[in-house]
Amino acid sequence: MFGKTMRLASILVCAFFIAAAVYDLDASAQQVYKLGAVLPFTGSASFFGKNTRQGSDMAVGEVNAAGGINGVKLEVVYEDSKTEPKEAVTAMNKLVSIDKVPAVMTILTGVSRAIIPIGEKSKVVVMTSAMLPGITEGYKYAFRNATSYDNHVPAMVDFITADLKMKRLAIMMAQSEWADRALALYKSLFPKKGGEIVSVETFQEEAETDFRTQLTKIKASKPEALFVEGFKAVPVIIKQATEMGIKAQVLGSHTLESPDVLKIAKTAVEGAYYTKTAFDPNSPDKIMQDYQKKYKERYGETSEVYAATHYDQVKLLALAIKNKGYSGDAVREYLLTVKDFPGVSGVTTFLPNGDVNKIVDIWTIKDGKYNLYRLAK
Amino acid sequence: MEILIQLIANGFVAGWIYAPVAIGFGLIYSTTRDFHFAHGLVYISAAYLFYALYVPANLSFLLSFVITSVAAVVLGLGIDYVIYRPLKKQGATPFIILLSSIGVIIFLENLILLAFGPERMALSKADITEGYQFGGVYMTKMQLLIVAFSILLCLAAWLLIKYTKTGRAIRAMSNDPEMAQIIGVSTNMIRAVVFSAGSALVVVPAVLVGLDTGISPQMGMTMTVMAAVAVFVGGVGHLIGAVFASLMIGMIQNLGVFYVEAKWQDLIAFGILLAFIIFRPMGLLGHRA
Amino acid sequence: MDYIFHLLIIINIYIIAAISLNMLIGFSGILSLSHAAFFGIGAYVSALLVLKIGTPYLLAVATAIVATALIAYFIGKPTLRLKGDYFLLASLGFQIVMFRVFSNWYSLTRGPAGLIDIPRPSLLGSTVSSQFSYFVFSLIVAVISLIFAHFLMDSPFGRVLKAIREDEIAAQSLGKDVARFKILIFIVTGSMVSVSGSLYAHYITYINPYSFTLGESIFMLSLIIIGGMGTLTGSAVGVIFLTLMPESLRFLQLPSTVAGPMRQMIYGVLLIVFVKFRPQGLIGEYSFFRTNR
Repeated sequence: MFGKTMRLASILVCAFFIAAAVYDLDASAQQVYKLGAVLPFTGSASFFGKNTRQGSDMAVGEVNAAGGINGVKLEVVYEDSKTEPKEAVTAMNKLVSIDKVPAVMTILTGVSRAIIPIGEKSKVVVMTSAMLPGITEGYKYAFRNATSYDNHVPAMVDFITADLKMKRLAIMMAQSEWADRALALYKSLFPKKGGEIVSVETFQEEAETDFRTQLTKIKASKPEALFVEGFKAVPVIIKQATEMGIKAQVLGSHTLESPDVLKIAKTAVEGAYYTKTAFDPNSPDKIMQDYQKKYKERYGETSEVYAATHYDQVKLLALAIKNKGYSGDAVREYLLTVKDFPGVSGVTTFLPNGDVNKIVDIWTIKDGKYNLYRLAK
Repeated sequence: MEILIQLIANGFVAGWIYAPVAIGFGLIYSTTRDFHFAHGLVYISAAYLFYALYVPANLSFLLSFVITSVAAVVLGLGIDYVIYRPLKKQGATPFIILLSSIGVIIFLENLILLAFGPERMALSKADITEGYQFGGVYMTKMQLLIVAFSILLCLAAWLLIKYTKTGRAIRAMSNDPEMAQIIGVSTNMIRAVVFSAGSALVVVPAVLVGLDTGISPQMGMTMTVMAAVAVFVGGVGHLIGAVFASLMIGMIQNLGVFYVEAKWQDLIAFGILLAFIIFRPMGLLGHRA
Repeated sequence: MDYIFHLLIIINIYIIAAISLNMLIGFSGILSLSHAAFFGIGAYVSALLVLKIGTPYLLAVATAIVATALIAYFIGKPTLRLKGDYFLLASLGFQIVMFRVFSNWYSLTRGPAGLIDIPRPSLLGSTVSSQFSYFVFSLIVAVISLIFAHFLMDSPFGRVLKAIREDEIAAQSLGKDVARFKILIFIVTGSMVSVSGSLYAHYITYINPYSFTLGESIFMLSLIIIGGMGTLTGSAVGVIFLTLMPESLRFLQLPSTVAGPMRQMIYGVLLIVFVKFRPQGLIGEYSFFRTNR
């Protein structure tokens, strides 16, 4: 009676939802080459999501303006990883089984680590710009075209000991896999150059806003330099460190270039030094100048290194499809032959393990602006 | 040694952040026995409203604060009038009230997400300066203000409860709701009082914390849980207990970090909660029923 | 087609979770917020055993069940004897504690980085690797759970639980050892959802602590509220509804910063609406209102 009607109604409602869910899956008849992208549009690394998308969108526009890939249009299917590996896995599964892309572009260590095995199993190339050393090791379908901590840490260690001539280093990093590896590198390299790591603290990026407990312990270790690495928490940490009277030299990586850093940390971050993939927007190099001009026209701002990195990723993958074919295996074969590709993010050659070796410069923040301090040695 | 004192100072401040929120939650729970889970969302909504008024809309600090306070009270009262009361009239059990509260939380937290995005917001417009030094221990201006204002608020609440007629009615309802009704306490009026007062109490901590460390949407749920823990550990119906428990939790969390890594802070707080619930459910100041 | 199987597998996994939670809350009246914690324990124990020491799948799941049962016992014994609100808070505390353990015990669980490359189950010599085979596998487990739940709740044991839900004091005065029944059902339902957790881990092949938060416990709660408490069909319907609804919203093509919170807001509103106007859920028979509307 009423109960039965309710049951029937519920079944019909469910049927409706199944139909609606399936509706969207109609394969489109139009011929198009698709690439996947799993990027952090939301979450604590959203700065990187915005920029990488801008870079790859511009590259796609250029490829299609030049007639596409052998006449076929190129399209990138973007999925939000939300800075969360779990979300990335769902997104990756969708890209692989529904969109059937031959390659997926991504960024961030946690996300990459979670989706690379899926790519490996489904023979889909995953090209990442994450910074974990050795991230492509052991995976045939994983590639990286960016610098890793293997490049950044030695450069920073050298800078601290040779340029700053400081010996006491405190490290504060977001709890993560890349932090473990970076720390291991610091621990093995820094003492060799005569330095001492006086304290190490970690924090949980998502959960914490008050870092004073860790900073208290760091302060007690009397460091000369303080290296901070994470995402959105970084400017807050630097701010609180200054408020607590920690006078150590602030050090970091290109995370310091995200826009809210100056807004939140303001004067606290003045005079900080950081490592950055060799990428100088003001370089007179013709490739850089052309690229920056086009980027500025399209987006009204200067391109930073990750936009350029993903711009290169699209170009490389488009070349792979054009020269070898529209499948994970074809893309992979092509990438392994790439030598001295003149990318805007640097000259690219893929090593047999899918990784690259790129250089890192030292930059600084002076008068609220980002300046090149010293080129890589 | 210096670290220890600094940690105690930090813990002291942390405790005073929880205290007014805990008192608010405690007032509501002890008089109505309703688990106003959404209390923490009132807290974080107030913080976000203040942010919206003070930063993008650039209103004066005072104006932003006043508007936020009024809005918080309206929100708290609104949740009671629109959601809880009609359900109670229909004979809802506490479980149902809790569920509706959860529905409110989900709705509000995502409204904030939609409007402001998931990232942390900083409210402070001031320059960054070194904090004040007290013999090697640093405290920022905000931290000192948090302590000062929270103490004032808690004191005010305590005085009102102890010395006013309304306060007596609240105490009567806490001890025995049925008896209170029989002797003529207007439960509806008291409900309105505790929801307003409770919601008003959260505004100062919300604004100050926003100015000090920043806010994010997830902080609402965290604060509800902390407030609930403080109330139960302190003893339901004993406001001083809630304050005491808030300070205790704040201090133990921060001191705990001296011995173990910072990531275990939360665990310590909940370990304390579980220990109390199991071994001393009446809380610090409560009596065995 | 693969995608439809994906949806169905998720539905099967959550049906087991919903049924077990329903047995605890809907049938026995024990309000708990720690279901996601047990879901997580099942997931981590099962995944770690297979990943780290190559334990055969069935043995790994069995171990997960035993581990969860033991933990449920140790948490349940001191807390179930307390009044409803206190137990609720204790279950909340336990949920958060477990999340922290998953997230902080880095050497075991790799914390927020999570466990990657969890293998698909290997049963009777072959691997359950395709979507279709995992669908069949999860369906079998879900059906077994449904049958088990049905028989348990229909049995004398189940009737006592319903009596406890209605009036604990009356049940006690009739000579029933209420505490023992509560602990037993707490253990049984915890173990059931740990199986669900294992299925989840070995399907998605990646888990991290963020799948096992308080928010997840609340989600499981909404599954049975909307589906209907006190009825097993209701659990199934709730799961199907709440899994498919967000999928059907996809064709609205909202940007993801909007779609996520929007979907959650709908959950929140649905929860309030259902609690107010249809507390017995889509299909339910029991509504937790004193006047039993």
